[in-house]
Amino acid sequence: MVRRGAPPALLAAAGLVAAGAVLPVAYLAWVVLGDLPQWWDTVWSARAFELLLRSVGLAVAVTAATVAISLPISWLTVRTDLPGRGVWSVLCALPLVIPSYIGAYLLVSALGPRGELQGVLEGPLGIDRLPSLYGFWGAWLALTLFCFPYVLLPLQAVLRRMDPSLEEAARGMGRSGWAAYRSVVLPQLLPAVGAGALLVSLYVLSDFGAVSIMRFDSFTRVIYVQYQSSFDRVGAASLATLLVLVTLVILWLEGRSRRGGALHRSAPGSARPPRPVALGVWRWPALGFCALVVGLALALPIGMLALWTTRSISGDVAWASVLGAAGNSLLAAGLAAGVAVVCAVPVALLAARHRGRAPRTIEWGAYLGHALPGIVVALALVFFATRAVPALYQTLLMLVVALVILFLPQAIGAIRTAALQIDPRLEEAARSLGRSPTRAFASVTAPLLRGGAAAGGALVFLTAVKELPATLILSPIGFDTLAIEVWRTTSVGFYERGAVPSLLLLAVSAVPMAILVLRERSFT
Amino acid sequence: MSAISITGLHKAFGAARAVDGVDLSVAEGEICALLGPSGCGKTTMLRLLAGFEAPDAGTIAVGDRVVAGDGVVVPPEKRGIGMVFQDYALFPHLSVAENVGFGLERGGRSARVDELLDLVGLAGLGDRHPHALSGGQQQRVALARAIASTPSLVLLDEPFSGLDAALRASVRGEVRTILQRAGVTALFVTHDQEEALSLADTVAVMHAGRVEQVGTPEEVYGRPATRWVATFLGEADVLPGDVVDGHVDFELGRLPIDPGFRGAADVLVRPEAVALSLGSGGSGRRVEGRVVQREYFGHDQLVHVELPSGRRIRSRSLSHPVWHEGDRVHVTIDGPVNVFAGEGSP
Ligand SMILES: Nc1ncnc2c1ncn2[C@@H]1O[C@H](COP(=O)(O)OP(=O)(O)OP(=O)(O)O)[C@@H](O)[C@H]1O
Ligand SMILES: [Mg+2]
Repeated sequence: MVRRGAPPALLAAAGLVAAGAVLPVAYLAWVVLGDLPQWWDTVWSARAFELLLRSVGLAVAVTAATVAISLPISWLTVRTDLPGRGVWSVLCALPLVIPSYIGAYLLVSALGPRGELQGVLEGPLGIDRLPSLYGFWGAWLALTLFCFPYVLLPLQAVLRRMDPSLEEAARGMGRSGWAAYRSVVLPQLLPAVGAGALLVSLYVLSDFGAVSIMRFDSFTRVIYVQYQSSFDRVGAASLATLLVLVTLVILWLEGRSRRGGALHRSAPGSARPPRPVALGVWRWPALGFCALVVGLALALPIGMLALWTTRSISGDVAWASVLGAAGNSLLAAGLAAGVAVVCAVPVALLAARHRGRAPRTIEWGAYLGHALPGIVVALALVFFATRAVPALYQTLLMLVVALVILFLPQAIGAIRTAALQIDPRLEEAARSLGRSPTRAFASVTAPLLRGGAAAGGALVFLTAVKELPATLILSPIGFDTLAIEVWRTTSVGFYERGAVPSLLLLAVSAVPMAILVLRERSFT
Repeated sequence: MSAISITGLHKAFGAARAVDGVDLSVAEGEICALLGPSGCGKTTMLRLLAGFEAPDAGTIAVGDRVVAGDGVVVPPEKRGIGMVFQDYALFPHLSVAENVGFGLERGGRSARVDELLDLVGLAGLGDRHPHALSGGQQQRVALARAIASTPSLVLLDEPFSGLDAALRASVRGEVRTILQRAGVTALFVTHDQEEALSLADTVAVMHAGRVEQVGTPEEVYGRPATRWVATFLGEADVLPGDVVDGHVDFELGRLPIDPGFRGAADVLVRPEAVALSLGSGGSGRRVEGRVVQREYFGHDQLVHVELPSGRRIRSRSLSHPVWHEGDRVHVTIDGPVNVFAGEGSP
């Protein structure tokens, strides 16, 4: 049902959206590369090289750790008789809803120097110095704990769908359980591991909150510091382009590895529920492992948040500013969601209904912002606004545009799914009944897209409301959001004051997100 | 005046020439079937007529108005052509009444909708949604929607393919009645010859992007214009023959047919024109054959007979007498046959 030629109006609308998404970043590249010698000086320096090593090193370490955690947990929760495995797999998905900067702050306040743990140990044991949590290992711990579900969830999905007969056949041929897992199950999991690892490594490279709170000098933190010391914006931009290059290399590597070919179930429709593997006494260490992960990634941060909140509420909370920030968060994220949905509709329709080079290019352009770190997009917009459209600088519109560029693909994805379910004949039927193309769209396609648009808007809202770096850079002066409030207080150690805004942020973003995630899981 | 006149119509998708020089006209009030095998360009023809595709060359006129060609392409909404889509394309978010009334002006809409629902036998179901209807009911909604604003022409793409075999025969009759009562010209596409022959006033047989023959059902079946039409429409066996002096000579005798050429010929014989009998009787040359296979269908039977030359021919007759494998029978021609210039021995 794919028609060849896309209607020019649709092509133009979608093209405009894609161009808007690409323009700021293209402008940034143009400005920076315009002064090639200086760019080269910044990029080809020992400092830049060190930054590269740190960032890539962190990405590799976090990715490895998330895979190491997710492989056993996915198997335990899907294929074995682990007690309470349904509960464990829900608990293991939940850390995803804790923004990394909130998670990092709660970890630091618990395990860091002069943190709660030390307070507990100091009295009876006289330990007055814990190994410092700041730096590489702190960032590694925080990002690992709050990112591992990105790997775990696709692994569980593949394991659930995997044909158990292959594994049984391998065991029937005399392989031991472990050998069967390694030779039959693991190879089928690799594509999912790759997809999850890609998400995690891109996340780590673009993360700003956790590395800042853990005071680890990765690309994003250094770019931000340099940008703040505002005399060297071009230097910050040069580093940003280097970060973009690293991102593109990762995407390219992943694309290459995916060409290896797909692995399918041997016979369609043979999805019997596999018989769970009996763990025997091994269930105790298995339970211990799950409890450790959930304890660190979920119980500890939630407990700390509860602790700080009670302490904070018994003191005095600046309610006016917190509620003002909450209103601003809702406003910015709400606007971003609305604009993203409107922009996503033509791109999604084009992607769902038309093939060819122009539609593919447009889709790629609209997705570009998603692959880029928020700080890069924000910086690009600053450059674009200050040099090309000064009237835009320091306005709410700039922030909204940045959020739309960053999260547009989530709206596109949801609307595209809905559009794929609409028979293009419906619009033709409306045409043959006398409606012009626009009226046919308005009376038939638009109502049928409503569900997808609502879902897409909700997703954009939920991610936009907790976004940190772009919000930090682009918010107009005096326009504080919850994310800014959390960051401003906790990054300088006022843990108590960060508690209430964090809680509010989790309430508006995490609770609906958790419902979405759980609902999705119950479908699979 | 013709309801549709198509001249020299061409449409290609890349290298695929979906419609490759079609001339066709359909008289007003007529039901015309566009019949052809899969991929011959039927849907493309309908889409060109409805205005969803623009022709590469040629003109299409509806009534006396050119809707495509001569540099004009009238958009679908301005053509006033009703269309019934293959999978009906009912709007899932609208009720049956809203579907039917979709193309109507607001004033007087509900009276007309009631009238149409009555016409298609769905009175009282206007508040339902399409998913709560059976396939046959959905189809009648689609039909009512297409004829609601009294278009001069209705196009139907494989209108019965979504229905199961038992339903098809009864729905076919209903649709014909509805179309006739509405007094519209209808062009419908099908690859089912039985459907085309039983429902249409005129049948246009399409093959590889061209219309090979247009005529009444009796004409295209009984006097196929080309060998392809003859073998596509119904069963036929080919025997080699020879045309001399206004006669054709072949294994089953000499028949007074003058195809307008002399020399080697192929004689296409339909099974119902082949009679089998026991023993003697009848005039002309008597040919004796041997029954090699019999297929029994209840109301009739198809008997395969091996002729003295070793060639086989099929005979369709009522269920009696019952023939058995190995029976010796006399084979005579009892009905029309078609003669085409020979392509050499088969
Ligand atoms: N949009 C298109 N793009 C490319 N090729 C097309 C397109 N539409 C039709 N074709 C090609 O044109 C030819 C005719 O297609 P068409 O759909 O008209 O056939 P049809 O007679 O309706 O067949 P069927 O009975 O299978 O529906 C086919 O070879 C088809 O592959
Ligand atoms: Mg077709």
